[in-house]
Amino acid sequence: MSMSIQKSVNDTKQSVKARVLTKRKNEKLDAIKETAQKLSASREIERAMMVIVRSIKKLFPDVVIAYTSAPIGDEKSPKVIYVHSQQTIGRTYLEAIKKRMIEKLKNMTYVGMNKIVFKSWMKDSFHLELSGVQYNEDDRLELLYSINIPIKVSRVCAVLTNFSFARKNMLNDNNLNVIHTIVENAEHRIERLKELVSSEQSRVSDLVGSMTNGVLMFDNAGTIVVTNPAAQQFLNIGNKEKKITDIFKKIKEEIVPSAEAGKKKEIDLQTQVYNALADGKPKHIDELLLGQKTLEMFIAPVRDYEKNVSGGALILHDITHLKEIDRMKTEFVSIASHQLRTPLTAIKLFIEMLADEKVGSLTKKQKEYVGDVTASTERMIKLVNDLLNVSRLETGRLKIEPVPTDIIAFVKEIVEDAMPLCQPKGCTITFEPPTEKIAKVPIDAELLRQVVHNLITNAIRYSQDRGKIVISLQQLTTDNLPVTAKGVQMSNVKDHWLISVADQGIGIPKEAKAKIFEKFYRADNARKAETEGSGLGMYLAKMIMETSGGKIWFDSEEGKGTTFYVTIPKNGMEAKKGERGVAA
Amino acid sequence: MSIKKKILLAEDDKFICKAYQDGLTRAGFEVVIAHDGEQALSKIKSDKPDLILLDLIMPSKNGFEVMEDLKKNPSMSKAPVVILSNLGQESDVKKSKDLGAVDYLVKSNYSMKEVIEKVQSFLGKS
Repeated sequence: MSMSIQKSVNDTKQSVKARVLTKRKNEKLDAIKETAQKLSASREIERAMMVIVRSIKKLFPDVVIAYTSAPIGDEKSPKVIYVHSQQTIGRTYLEAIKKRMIEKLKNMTYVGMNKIVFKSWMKDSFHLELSGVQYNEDDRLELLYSINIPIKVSRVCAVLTNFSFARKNMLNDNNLNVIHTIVENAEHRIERLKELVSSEQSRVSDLVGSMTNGVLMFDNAGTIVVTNPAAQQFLNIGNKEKKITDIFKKIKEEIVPSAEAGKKKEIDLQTQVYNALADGKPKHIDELLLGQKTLEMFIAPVRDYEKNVSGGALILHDITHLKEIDRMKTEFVSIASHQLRTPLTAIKLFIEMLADEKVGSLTKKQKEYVGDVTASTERMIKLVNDLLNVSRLETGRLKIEPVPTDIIAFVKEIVEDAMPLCQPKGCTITFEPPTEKIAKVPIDAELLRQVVHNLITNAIRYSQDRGKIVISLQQLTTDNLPVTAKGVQMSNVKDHWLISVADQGIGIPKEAKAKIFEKFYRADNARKAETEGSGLGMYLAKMIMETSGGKIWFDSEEGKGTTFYVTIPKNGMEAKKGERGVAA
Repeated sequence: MSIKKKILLAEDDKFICKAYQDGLTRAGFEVVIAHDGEQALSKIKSDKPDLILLDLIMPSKNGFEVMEDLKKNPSMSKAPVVILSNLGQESDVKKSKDLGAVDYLVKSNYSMKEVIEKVQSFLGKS
C-alpha cells in the first residue's frame, strides 16, 4: 500500500516536473513566434535587432548581447558595436566581446563589400555603444563563453551578433539552441522581407516606369527621389534636375478654370504643392501649360510608416489630346448647329412673312398650311437646340446660373403661357401655389422653365379630352412627402421645393416606366397619341435637375394619369460653371 | 417725312439675307446689303449705316474680324453692332460682346418681328 503511495507521489513529482518543462518550452516557443511575427512587420535591420535583443533579454536576463551591422556598404560605413546588457560589466568584458567579434569579422568571406575595401575598412578600430549597460570600469566580470552568429541576407552578412555569458550554468545546449533558433528565425524573416520588399519594389518600379502618366516623387528636403520616363519626357528633364524647385520653374502657367477661350494665367505651383503637403491632402490642378502640352496635375502627400508626411508626389496626366478632341467636338457641334439652323432660319422668316399676310392675303387652306409649316419648323429648331443642349450636358459644359427668383410667380407664368395649348382638347389647367408667402429661391430660370414647361406641355399633350391638369408648388416637410414617390430617397429631398404636375392622361405603361428618362425614348402609347416629340425632353429635364442638385421622378398608372415631381434644393439650384449658348 | 434709318445687313446666306431685307424694308428701314466681311467693311465706310446687323460666319472676313477692324478704327463707324448669327455657344457670345457687339441674337430663335423690335430699340437709344 505504502509503496503504491510512494509511486504515486513520485509520479506526481515527475509529472509536475514535466509540466514545468513543457511550460518553459512553450514560453520559449511563444517568444520565438512572437519575435517572428514582430519581425515580419519591422522593415529595417536595426528594428529587427531591437526585436531580437528584447526577446533574448526576456528569456536570458544574464546574457550580454552585442551586434554590429557593419560589413555592408563602403569604406565609409560606420563601425559600431552595440552592446546590451542588464548586468554590470567592465572594460575587460567589453574588450573581450570586441576582440571575438573582430576576429570573426576578419575571417568572414561573405561580406557585403569589396574584399580589398573590407580589409582596409577592418584596420580602423570599432566604436562601442552601450545600451542599458551598467558600466563599471573596474568590474572584473569575465567573459566565459560567447557565440558569434552572423545574420545573412542575400548570402551576405548583414549583422554580426554576439551572445556572451559570465555564468557557467547558462552554458547549456538548450539555451544556445533557443538563441540560435531566434536568430535563424530572424534571418529567415529578414530574408523573406527583403525578397518581398525587393519584388514589391521591382513590381512597383515596373508599374511606375510603364505608366503613361508622369510620376515624380520628392522628399521633405525637396530632393527628387523618383521620376518615371513619362515624367522625364513631359518635363524634359534628365538627371540634372535634382530639386523639385527646378520643376516648379518649368511650369509657370495654367489655364484659367472655366474660361472659354483657354485664357492663361500665371501659377505659383510651389505654393500650391507646399500647401497640399502642409494640409496633408491631395490637390488637383485642372490644366497646366508646359510648352505645347496641356497637363492635368495631381499633388499627393507621401507618408512614411508612421503616417507623417515625408514628401510628395506629382502625377502628371497629358490631356493635350483630350483638349484637342474637346475642341474638335465643340467645333463640330458649332458648325453642325450653324449648318442646320441656317436653312431653318430662312424658312422660319419667310413663313412668318407669309403668315403676316404682308405680301398678300391667304385663303383659309393656305393659312392652315402655312401654320403647319411654322409648327414643323419650330419643332425642328427645338430639336436642334435640344441636341445642342444634350451635347453640352453630356460633356459637362452646361452652365447653371441660379438667381434669386420669386418661384410662385415663375411657375404661375409658365402655367399661364401654356393655357392656350389646352383649348383644342378642352383641358383645364390650374395652379395651386403655397398658402404662405415664400422668400426668393435661387434658380436658373431659363433651365427650370424648360423643365417645367416640358412637363406641362407633356401633360396637355397626353391628356384625354376635358382632362384636368393640376400644378402645385410647396416645400417638402416630413408631413407632406408624396407617398407615391418610389425609388427616391425621401431624406434626400427633405425641405426641397417641390413642383408637381398631375394629369389625368394616358399614363405611362408599366414596361415604359424604367425608360422614360432615356434619350430618344418614347412610350408606345405616347407615340400613338402624338407623333410629335423628340424623346429628348425628359432626358434633358433629368440631366438639368440632377446636375443642379434636384430630383425628378413620377408616379403613373396607364389610362389614369401621371404626376411628375421635380424638386429644387432648399437653398436653390446649385451653380455650375460651364457654357450655354443663347440657344438654351 | 423723317429720314429713313440705314441698316447694314451683313449676311452670306442669300435666303436669310433676302428675308431680313424684305422684312426690314417693309418696317421702314433703308437696308444696305453685304455678302461677306470685306464688303461689310467697305459699305460701313461708304454708306455710314446707323446700325449694323452682323453675321459671324462669312467668307473673306468673318464677323469677329469685321468687329476687330472696327475696334481698330473707331473713326470708321459709331453704329451699334448687333450680331445675328446661328452660332450660339457661350464663347461666341462672350467674344462678340468683348469685341463691342451690343446684342447677340441667334437667328433661328428670333422671329422677324422680334428682330425688328430689337433694331428699333437700339436705334431709339442712339
